[in-house]
Amino acid sequence: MSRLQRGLQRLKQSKQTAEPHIDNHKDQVSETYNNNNVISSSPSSHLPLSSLQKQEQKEDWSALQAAWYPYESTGFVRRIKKFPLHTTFGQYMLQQFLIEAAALTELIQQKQKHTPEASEATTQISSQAAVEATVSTAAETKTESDVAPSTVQYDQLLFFDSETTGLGMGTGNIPFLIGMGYVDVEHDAFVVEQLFMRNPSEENAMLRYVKHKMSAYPHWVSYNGKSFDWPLIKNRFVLHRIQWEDSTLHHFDFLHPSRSLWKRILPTCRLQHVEQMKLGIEREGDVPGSMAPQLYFQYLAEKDNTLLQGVFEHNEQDIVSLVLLAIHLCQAVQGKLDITAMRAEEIFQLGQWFIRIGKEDDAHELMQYVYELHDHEQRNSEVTGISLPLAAYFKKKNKLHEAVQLWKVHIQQEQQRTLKSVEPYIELAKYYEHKTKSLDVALYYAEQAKQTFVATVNMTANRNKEKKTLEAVNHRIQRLRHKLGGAQ
Amino acid sequence: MNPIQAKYKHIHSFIQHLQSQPSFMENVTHWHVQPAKPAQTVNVPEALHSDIRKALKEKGMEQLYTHQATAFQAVEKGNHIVVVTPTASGKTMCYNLPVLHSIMKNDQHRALYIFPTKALAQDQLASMQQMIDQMEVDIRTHTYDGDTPPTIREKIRSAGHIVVTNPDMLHAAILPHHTKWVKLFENLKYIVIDEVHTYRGVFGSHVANVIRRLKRICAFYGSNPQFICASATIANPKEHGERLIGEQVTLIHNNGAPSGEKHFVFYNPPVVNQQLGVRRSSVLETKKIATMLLENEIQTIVFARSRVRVEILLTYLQDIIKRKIGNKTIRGYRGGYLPKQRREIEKGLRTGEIQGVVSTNALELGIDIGQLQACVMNGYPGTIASTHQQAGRAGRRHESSLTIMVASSNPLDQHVIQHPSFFFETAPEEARIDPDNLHIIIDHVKCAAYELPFEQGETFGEESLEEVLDFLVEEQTLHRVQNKVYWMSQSFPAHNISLRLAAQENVVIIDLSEGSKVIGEVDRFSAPTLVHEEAIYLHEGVQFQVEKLDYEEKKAYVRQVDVDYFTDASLAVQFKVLHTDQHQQMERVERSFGEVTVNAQPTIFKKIRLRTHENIGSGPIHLPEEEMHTSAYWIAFSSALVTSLSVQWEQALLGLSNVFGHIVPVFLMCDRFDIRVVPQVKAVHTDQPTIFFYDRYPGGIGLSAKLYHIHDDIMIQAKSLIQSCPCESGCPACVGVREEVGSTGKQDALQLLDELL
Repeated sequence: MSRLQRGLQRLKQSKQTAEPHIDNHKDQVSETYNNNNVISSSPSSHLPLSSLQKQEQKEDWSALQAAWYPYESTGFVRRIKKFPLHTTFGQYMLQQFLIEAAALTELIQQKQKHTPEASEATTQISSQAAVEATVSTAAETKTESDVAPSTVQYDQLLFFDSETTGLGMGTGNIPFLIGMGYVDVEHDAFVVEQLFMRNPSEENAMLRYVKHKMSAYPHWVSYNGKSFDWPLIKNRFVLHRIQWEDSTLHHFDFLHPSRSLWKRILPTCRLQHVEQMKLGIEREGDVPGSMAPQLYFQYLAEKDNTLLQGVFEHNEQDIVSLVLLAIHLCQAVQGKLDITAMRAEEIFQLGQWFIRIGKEDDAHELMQYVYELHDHEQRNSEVTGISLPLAAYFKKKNKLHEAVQLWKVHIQQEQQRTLKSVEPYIELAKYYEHKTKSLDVALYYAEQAKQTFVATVNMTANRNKEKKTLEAVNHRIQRLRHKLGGAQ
Repeated sequence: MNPIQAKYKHIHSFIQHLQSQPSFMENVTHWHVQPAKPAQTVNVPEALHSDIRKALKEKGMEQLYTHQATAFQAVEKGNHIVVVTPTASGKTMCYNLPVLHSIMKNDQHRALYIFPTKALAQDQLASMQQMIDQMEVDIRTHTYDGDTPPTIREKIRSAGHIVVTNPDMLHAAILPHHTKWVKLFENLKYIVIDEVHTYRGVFGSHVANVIRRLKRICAFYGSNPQFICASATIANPKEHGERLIGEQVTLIHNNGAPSGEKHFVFYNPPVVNQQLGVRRSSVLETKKIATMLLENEIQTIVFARSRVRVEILLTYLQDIIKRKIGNKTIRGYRGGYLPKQRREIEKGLRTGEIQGVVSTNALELGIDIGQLQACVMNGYPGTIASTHQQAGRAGRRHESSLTIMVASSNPLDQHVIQHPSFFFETAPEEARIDPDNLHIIIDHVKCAAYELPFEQGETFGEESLEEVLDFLVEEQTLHRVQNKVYWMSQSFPAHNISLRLAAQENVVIIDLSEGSKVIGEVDRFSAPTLVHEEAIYLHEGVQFQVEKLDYEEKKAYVRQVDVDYFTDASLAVQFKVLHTDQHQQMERVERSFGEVTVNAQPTIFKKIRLRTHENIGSGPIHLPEEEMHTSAYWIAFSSALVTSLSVQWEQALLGLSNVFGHIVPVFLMCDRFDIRVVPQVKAVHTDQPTIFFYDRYPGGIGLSAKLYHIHDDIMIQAKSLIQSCPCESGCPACVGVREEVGSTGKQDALQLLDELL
């Protein structure tokens, strides 16, 4: 016995003694593999597997409404589910997607305008997440500038989502289930097609099928697919040495608009949260995505495909939710959402999103609407959290009357608090100094700014930005005093 | 007169001054002068790309040193090479020339440079960039490490001609994401590995496996890169290079670089107690010599063997120098300092703002700290190779230089200082790695499977992988389908595997004196003896007492104190023999090599007064026992011998172990913490008096195995060391002090040795 073999034996022993409570499932597994081991001392040990595989091909997947799908020389498991277009989920009917889809075109234009800015923003962050983000934005820039934004058509969109064996972006994280959804006009249905590999030897066939399917659609829709699912799938293509030039395709990642709209309103922007809160969808008995890897590993060990029922359903619902979210976003972009039912914060975010996608006029209407609310007896409190950014908006639009109102509202609201913002005082000081030339009022606000600053900012922190702010305030006070003194 | 000439004259006259001082010279056991060596050059090869030749010419390099030209030709022939040359001999040309040449010929070609540390990588990049700028060509070189800004990473991955990185980054960031590096891997022509001598022991064994993975990825993308390695002087550069990269290599060692006159002085502190053989403390003598150099404004590096020594010397020197040349110009440098601090010190040394530095072997590596004029070693660095490296820090730019080695009273130092030929005539040590260590190979097979599935019959190094793969399949980390084995787990294996023992399992040291601030770190193996509760931890010359060691969370909380002692902890060790690989039964002694379980438990610590080094108290250490499987070499004395030999067994074994503990690392070229020697009067396994040597790394890294084979050499050295020691009955320079080994310790140890020879 070699040193390596002895070492291995001891390792196994120590593992066994370390884990005396092996559950049933593990017992079975180790038994299976022990049998394997007996054979595996000869080089021909793995031959029986091929016959095993033939057996597997006959494996019954009907319980999952799926079936073995031979493709190229091998194959994989495929599950196809068709939803009639008149099916309703939560507040929307699938049919609506056909009517609204064209509005997605506006989202493409948005990207062209704003990508450079977005990538600049990410350079400020030095986290690993930012690395990936930057990379994907860089890729995006290239993709989108090449494509002229022709009108998006409902039958050109492919929705996709994958379930993977782990987290992270490394080459060992494998998407084992890839779900794709599209409209089938002939059959008046929305089709969810799910591809599943029973083991990694089926991946190649599955990927070739994915390529065949996806390249037929110029527009893709995903949720966080730009920084997760798609780069992972691309990894797989590289690993299988399958060439694919994807630069002519356009990828909508709905996580981005969802974040723009709801980051401040929803506790998280996970799809499950968004669909529940915004689309009125309740999942029952959902198997969370985080369970998928474990269930897949268990399936690999036990070959019991019923274990995967929940994983297939979860993935299917994700894809259906994506279509519904598409309808919702299309309605939003066209200004079809009922804003009277929304809180000020949400309307404001919608306005901000409009600005970002270049719908300035529509945005202004919304902002004006939110502004009116500050005077509304029941609803004025809703404006509290956004009065400063809203004021900044009006200042930028040179609507100073509104801006001044909002700064004052903000000061009013904060009166009882210990931690106050300095910003409205500074802004008001500027306004009265330069616009109305009321120097004494300006001095009042400047001094208030200084007081507030000293009371709230921990000077020992000695942060540069704060230091600069304080210097600027002091400078302003001096100048105002000087001007006032000169006038007297 | 330019400042360099001024300095030259200065150090020259200082050397003369020193030689005229009887009080200094009477302690000098050997004064070695290595004469200046002229350059050996050849014409720049015609085959070299004309732009590069032009750039060399502009740089004033009409000729190449012989080794640079040979390296270029060997690489052109398609050989993997290992270049062995001393510090400052222009070895970077050996790899930059062929790499630039290749890229100039074909813009698609790529090269990957690997340096052991980030600092070295940045240094090398700067010098290479200079060359490229001179050539006025568009060759893009970048470092790719933890400090690389995310914004340029993508660009480096797709467009960098030369990517400069370190093994850790390769292991945890590049290889597991190889699909993003398609362009590099498809076109990779050269892999440059500098400082290969540092890749030894556990770290080297890990790196050898990372290289196996790298080659696997290259093969996948259809490239078959050539390796260009460079090493400091070791005994087995060719063999070591071959084990590290798993390929045949051509050795290049015709160094043609010139060097200045080098003075190497062996200094043995005077005996202060003839009877006990006690010499004046080497720390105090080092302090005296360093002070003299620093006061004469000679930029000096002081090497000490442990962190504690560094801190003690730093405290002394700062204290003395403060008044004369201003504080802050003497700095410490060692592993536990934070990177930012280290960069600052390196820069200060280059600019000359820092007059002196006290360092552990951390500064032995090729980090650019510019040219120092003198080097003082507090104690023999432990290996010949290391000594050459440390001495090379003085006089890098062909001027006269001075290296003074101050011997401590430990046996090895005394042996070396009294036998200068040992140092000047013996070949330097071998670098050893064991890439097939089970624990290490399992770690890397996991990472490799994550990167690419294993095919049936695929090799990974020498041993067959089937069993390791089967084991991991059984563990459900890998999944076998038909003829392939796939990674099948949620985790990212490289994150849990650290190439450097210290890096991952560090215990962070948090100073609570003012708020809470991280001031340093120690590796997990050293933590029980360095930062146990009540230990005195020294950092930048300041004393801290450990208030609490959170062993689970790997945090030690310390508070600044001012006391006149330091602490020294002891460890109790138990062995269980698991398997005997090799065994030799001699008449009255048996010796074996095999696998053991070691249980180590820190027991007590002693408080030792600074300066006088007397024991002034002790206390218990409450920490969990650590268990480890590793390899060991053990020598057992037969029961017949126990009755027939009239020795004090306990003391005799201890004395002999003390001697072994000091000399064994020399033969193994390892850190003295890598191997331990433990005597047992009645070992559980043998039931007889036994001395164990074991590798302090799970699974062993081949140190004990080597000992089994070089047994005789060690015994001969040990005997000569004890015999040549002038003390009466044992002293720190041989078997240990009388209090420890008794009045017959020396004779007893010699008696045992006679049985072992």
